[in-house]
Amino acid sequence: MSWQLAGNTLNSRFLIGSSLYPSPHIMQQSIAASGAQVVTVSLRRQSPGLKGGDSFWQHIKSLNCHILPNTAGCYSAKDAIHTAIMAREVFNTHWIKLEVLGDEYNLQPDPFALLEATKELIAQGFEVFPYSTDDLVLAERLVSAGCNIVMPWGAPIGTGRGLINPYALKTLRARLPDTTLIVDAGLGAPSHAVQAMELGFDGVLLNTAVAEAQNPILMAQAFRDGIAAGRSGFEAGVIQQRDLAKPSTPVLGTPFWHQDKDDRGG
Amino acid sequence: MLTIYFNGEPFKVTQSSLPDVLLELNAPAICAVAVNGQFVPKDQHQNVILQEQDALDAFTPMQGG
Repeated sequence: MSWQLAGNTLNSRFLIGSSLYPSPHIMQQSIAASGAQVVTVSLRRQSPGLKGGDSFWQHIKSLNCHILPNTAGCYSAKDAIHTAIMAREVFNTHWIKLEVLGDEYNLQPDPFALLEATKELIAQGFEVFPYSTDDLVLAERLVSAGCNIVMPWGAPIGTGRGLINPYALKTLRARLPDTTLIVDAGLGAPSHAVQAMELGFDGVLLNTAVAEAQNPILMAQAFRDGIAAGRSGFEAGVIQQRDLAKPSTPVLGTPFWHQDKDDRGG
Repeated sequence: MLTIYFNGEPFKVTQSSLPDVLLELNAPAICAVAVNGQFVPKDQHQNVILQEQDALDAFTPMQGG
């Protein structure tokens, strides 16, 4: 079922990264297999004479996806703003995945610098996709600053730990019902993506879990299917958990059933 | 002859206007350019004359997550 992301109608709720694949060819095949229509990229200085960037860009362009440039590696609002402005010119898009990191160990976003950069970039006409923690107040401030989208982490980048704080993510969903929420980073298994989608998140963005899988193309398909299944589950309405077992098969009319015995269904 | 630092490495160039230097250095066609750490939008390239020891950086599309 289609959905809206920053004014674009998409069929896939999978946003995928373009890094860490064993080869450009496998990257291209994996992204195609994922069904993703949004691909994240970065801007980097490269050694003079190397043409790797050109080749990479040709591979990405041939996929006909929406391009979501990032500000990965920035540790200050100033650097992130600078990078975003350059990315806008190179990729010809006002979309920016805004990363402003605050800690080198867990690559945790710096909430203060993130908010500062968000305000400036929105003032300059960007559609900001902020990579944030699962902090509710930060998310609310980002929305107040003009973000239509917030991308809380499932876990720190590249850890593959899944949703380390489902309560916080569930709270974000409940408190920001009109904001597009995308779980970004930290997922390892397709089941993590299913869980995120069942919580009602609008999409999932990941990279390492696919790129570093033993078979990235197959894993891309697995995440594609997991994301779709999780979304369907959310839309269908998951039943409430309960402690008391309840038979699913009708007890009345069971062969050899007698009125004076307890109901023991299964 | 001018010595400038292109993406961190020293180069001698015969030209000094930014578009000419980019051409001379065979810079990537698709890139964002910064001179001494300041981004120069494409429509302003023609207004920039490089000086001795200037740092010229070209940023190109790269893999990202």
